[in-house]
Amino acid sequence: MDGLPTDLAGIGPTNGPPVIPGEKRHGRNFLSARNRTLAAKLNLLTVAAVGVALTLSCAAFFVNDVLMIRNSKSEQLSALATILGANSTAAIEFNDAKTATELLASLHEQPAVEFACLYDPQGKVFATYPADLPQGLALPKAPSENCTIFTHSGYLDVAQNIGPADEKLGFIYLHARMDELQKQIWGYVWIALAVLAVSLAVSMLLAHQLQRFITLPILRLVEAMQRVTREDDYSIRVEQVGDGELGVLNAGFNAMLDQIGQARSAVCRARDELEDRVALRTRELLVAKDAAEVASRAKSDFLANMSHEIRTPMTAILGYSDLLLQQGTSKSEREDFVQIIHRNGNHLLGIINDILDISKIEAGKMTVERIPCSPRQLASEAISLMQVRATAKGISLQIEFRGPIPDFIQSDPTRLRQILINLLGNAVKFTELGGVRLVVSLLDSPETPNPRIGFEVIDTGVGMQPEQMSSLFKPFAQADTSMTRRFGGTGLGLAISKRLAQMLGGDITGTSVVGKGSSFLISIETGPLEEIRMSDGFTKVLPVTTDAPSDKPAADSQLSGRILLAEDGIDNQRFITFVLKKAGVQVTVADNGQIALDYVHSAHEEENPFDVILMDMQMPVMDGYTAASRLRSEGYRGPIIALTAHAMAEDRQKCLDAGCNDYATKPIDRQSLLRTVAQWMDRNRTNNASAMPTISESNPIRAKSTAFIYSALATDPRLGDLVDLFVQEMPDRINALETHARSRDWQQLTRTAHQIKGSAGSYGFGEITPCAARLEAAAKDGCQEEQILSTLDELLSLCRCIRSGVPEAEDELSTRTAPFAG
Amino acid sequence: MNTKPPYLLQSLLLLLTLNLGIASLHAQEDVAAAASREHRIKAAYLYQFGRYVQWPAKAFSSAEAPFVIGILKQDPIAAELDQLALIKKIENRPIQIRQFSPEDGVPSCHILFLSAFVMPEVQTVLVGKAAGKNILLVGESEKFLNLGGAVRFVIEGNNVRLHIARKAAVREELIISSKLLQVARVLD
Repeated sequence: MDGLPTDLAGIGPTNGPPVIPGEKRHGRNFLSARNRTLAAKLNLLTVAAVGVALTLSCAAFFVNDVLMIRNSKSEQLSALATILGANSTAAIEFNDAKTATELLASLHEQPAVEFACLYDPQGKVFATYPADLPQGLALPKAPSENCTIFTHSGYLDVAQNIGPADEKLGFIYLHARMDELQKQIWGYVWIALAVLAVSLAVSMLLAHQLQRFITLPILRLVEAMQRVTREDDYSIRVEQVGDGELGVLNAGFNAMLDQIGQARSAVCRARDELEDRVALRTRELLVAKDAAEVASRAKSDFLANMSHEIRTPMTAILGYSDLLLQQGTSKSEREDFVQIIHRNGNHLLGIINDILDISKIEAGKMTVERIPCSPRQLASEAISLMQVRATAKGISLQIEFRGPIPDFIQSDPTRLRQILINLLGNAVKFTELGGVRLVVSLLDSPETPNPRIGFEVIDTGVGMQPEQMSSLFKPFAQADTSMTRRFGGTGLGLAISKRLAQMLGGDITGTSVVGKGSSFLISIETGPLEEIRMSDGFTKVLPVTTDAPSDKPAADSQLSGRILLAEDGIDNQRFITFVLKKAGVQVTVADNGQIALDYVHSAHEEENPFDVILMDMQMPVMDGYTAASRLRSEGYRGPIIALTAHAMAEDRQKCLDAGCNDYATKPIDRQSLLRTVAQWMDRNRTNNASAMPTISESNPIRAKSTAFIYSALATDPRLGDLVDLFVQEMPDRINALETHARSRDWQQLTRTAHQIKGSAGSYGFGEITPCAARLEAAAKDGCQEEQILSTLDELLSLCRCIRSGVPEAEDELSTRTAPFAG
Repeated sequence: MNTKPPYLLQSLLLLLTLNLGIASLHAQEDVAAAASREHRIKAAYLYQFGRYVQWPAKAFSSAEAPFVIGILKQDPIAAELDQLALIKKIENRPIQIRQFSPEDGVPSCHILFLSAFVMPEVQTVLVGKAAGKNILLVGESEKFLNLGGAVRFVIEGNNVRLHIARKAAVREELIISSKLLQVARVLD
């Protein structure tokens, strides 16, 4: 036998493919070569065990038998000797050798006994067997005692004393062949060997057959494992083979394959999942990349566009101004040129402002305010600004206040105005027939937590496609470039407006129908509306006149007075001087703050003070902030208007904190400048120390009182420190007042006003007391909000002017301040 | 007659006489030796009989009662028997040799030995007297067994043989061991 089971066909999965015969044979041989040791080991084990057992037992039995046989033989012979000896006693005693020989002759029956003899008491041989001894046979010496000896030559010698032990009557000696014994022994040996051989053979056969029970499952397992590895097929399983260790092995193998299979499928799943995610991510990234590319392209387009947008008016400005420098242009031509330059300049300013705005927005640096403003006011203003253009185009303008509208909302009026103007401007721009309507309404009920107000701009213009609408609000992307060419604009206005609306807590959404018109809804948060008064809606249609609109600016009103212009820029000096002089004002120019101060002082000495000071904030030697504060600390109360290029709210505040009353942003608008100057000249003339700010001011920052206020008790040794403390704490009180006003907490406002009234008087700030009293009364009595707020503003202005110490102690120009004091 | 020395004859005669004398001495000695040997053997046999024959219990008064061998006075075997009686025992009994005269009658004994020199008539009487006394009658004469004796010494060549009449022994309630019978010639 080759030592292998023959039914390897059972190996393999119960539901797997059958094993290829050729492969199987090879596998068998291969396996047999490898597993010969296993089967051989088992066989060897069995055979060895059986062999050893059999050998030992056979040997034991053999030895036992041999000993027994020898014992029995020697006993036999001894017995024979004894009997014969006993029978021979008479013969020996009676000296009857004949009888003795006869007796011994009976040994003939014992073929084993070769020789026997009787010894008489003297040790002489008395009788022998056989009677005739062969010649030369050496008779052994007479024994002296009983003995039984197995000689080496295979004989048994027995010598027995005849007669009773104490009487030595002689000895009998028997010499027997033990070849029968030998034969028997050899017989045993052969039998034992035969038994051994047969048993071994049988056991080997049995072992060989029975070891299958062990090796077959193992071989199957081995085969299965190899198959798994070879074919990478983890679905293979082995059959169960009962509960023993082999069964456990098989079950374990199956279980392991289960786990491996699961792990593999888990890995595959994970990998697929990963692939899906990677694909998804790749798609996302592609989309993002596309978007980024689009954005990048759009930015490049924007830059190109902006470059173009900036250069175009610049070209006009430079070109036409260049033409103006030429000879040979008529007056009307020159007028036209100037118009063109002016227009382009404004346009360029708009573009630059838009670019700055959008850059600020993109950089996240845009801030909006939350202060009370009137939606009515803002809407009306925006509409009125459009009126000229609408009339020129022959389209109607309508404003509608639908439903109850809050008198005030918490928002940023500047930005809101900007948005309204932008959208209304677009509406008017894109409408040739029909008209533009602005509908103002509350979008949410006042009780809701975050109510919103809506400004809807509806036009009957050209309309646009949905695709155009979707890209409308994106910065750097206009409806399409043809629009820009046709209608002008930067393409940024709507993007800015949308962003601003979002920053104001709302959004701008639009719908449009090609050919029919568009509608844009601006929604912004209003802040809490619980205690805000509402007014009912109404509609107002602005008249459409057929008067040809005049592009010329209105005739300037004539002013008179003296103005000090502190400005270091030559061109601005000239421009502003020209404008003011044209308006009939006397202008003195100072190149920096120090010179301005000198002029102010000298003007005061000459008792010909300036009506208004226009102070540029950025100047060498001494800038506007320093100069203004200096003047104020000296007690100067005249209006100082700041000229600043910064348009941020903080900068404005800085100007006002420095002591300015108002400000004008560069580039200076002529009409705006004149208006402002006129305004302050009037004020100065009427000598109104405290301003009466209304919320309808175009500037959201309220103007302030002119001079700093010092305590009359500043030098009092007992109260001096308390005065300083009061001044130090004043900003907190100001904040409190503002907070109460914002939250419409009139009760608290009353309380705070009362406190201020009391303290201000105690610490020598007598000017504040009456205003505080008025505020307290107004808040307590529940007067109209407008009144309360205006009184509050007044008080705030005063409060902001208080200073600790005394005016004389603060300045080296104390001699000069003296005239201003009081 | 020639001229032979006169003394030769005498010396020869002397020598011859001497030799004859020596020879006769030797012969006598031999005879004497042979005789003593014979007596020794017989004595030994008598002793052996004590061992190979079984007497009934009534033959002994007690367990220590001696074993008696009766012989006629002046029997030459007496010397050897006496020697034997000194040394040996039969069944742990001391051996006693009782010498008697015929006119005394048969003594109480176990073995009675009548040598060949005893007159046949005496033997007959004694045998007759010994009957019923559990005595093993041992003799030598030719007709001893016919007389009623149990055992007879027979000289065959150089050996002493035994002839046994079993019936005689049986009559006296004596059991003779088969061993003895084996070595003897049993006549009935």
